[in-house]
Amino acid sequence: MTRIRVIVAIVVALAIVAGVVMIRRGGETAGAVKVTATTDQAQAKRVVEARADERAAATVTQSIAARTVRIDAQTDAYVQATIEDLRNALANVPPAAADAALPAAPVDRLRDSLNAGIARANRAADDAGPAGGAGED
Amino acid sequence: MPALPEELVKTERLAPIAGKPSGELVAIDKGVLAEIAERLAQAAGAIERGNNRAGGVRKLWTCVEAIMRTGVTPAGCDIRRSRGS
Repeated sequence: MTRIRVIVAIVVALAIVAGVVMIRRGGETAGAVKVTATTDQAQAKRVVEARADERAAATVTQSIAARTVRIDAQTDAYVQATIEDLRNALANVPPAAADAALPAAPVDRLRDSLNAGIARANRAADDAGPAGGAGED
Repeated sequence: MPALPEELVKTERLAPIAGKPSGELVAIDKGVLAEIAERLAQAAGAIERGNNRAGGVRKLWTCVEAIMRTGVTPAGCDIRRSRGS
């Protein structure tokens, strides 16, 4: 009699242990799936954000490059105008008469014209400095 | 983003021409004088373009850094055609 009881008790105990183990396994698997899903979602969100950042950076890069090209063109036009002015200044000097003293070169006008270009270049340096950012013109 | 190395965006400056006469005169051909003056004007233009490019690199770096950090494009970073004068 007692032997049967002991056997029944052992069987019951084993069944309980088996039940506990099964439930625990199931819970662990479910929990792991949940955690993986959450991590995957967070990861996907970060990837989407990174892509959006990349696109925004590409747009900004293009617009800044395009603006630099436009400013370059303005500088080129200004240099061309300066050269015209220098040529005109020299063309306005009358030719030297025979046996007379040489006419003076238009040094003041040449200097002013060139200095205007130098001032522009230095202003561009100011605008490009750490405080100024790129120039606005 | 790492910090922008300052030596990559260093700007250049030219001293203005003082034009102070020394009192000693020399004769110079107009064509030669014109060419020298033109080259100087072009050199000043090259410095201006270089400075503007340095400014562009600085701006680009600052803007991209801000976008990567905050995800938002800061004001003044996305310059459309309308801004050109």
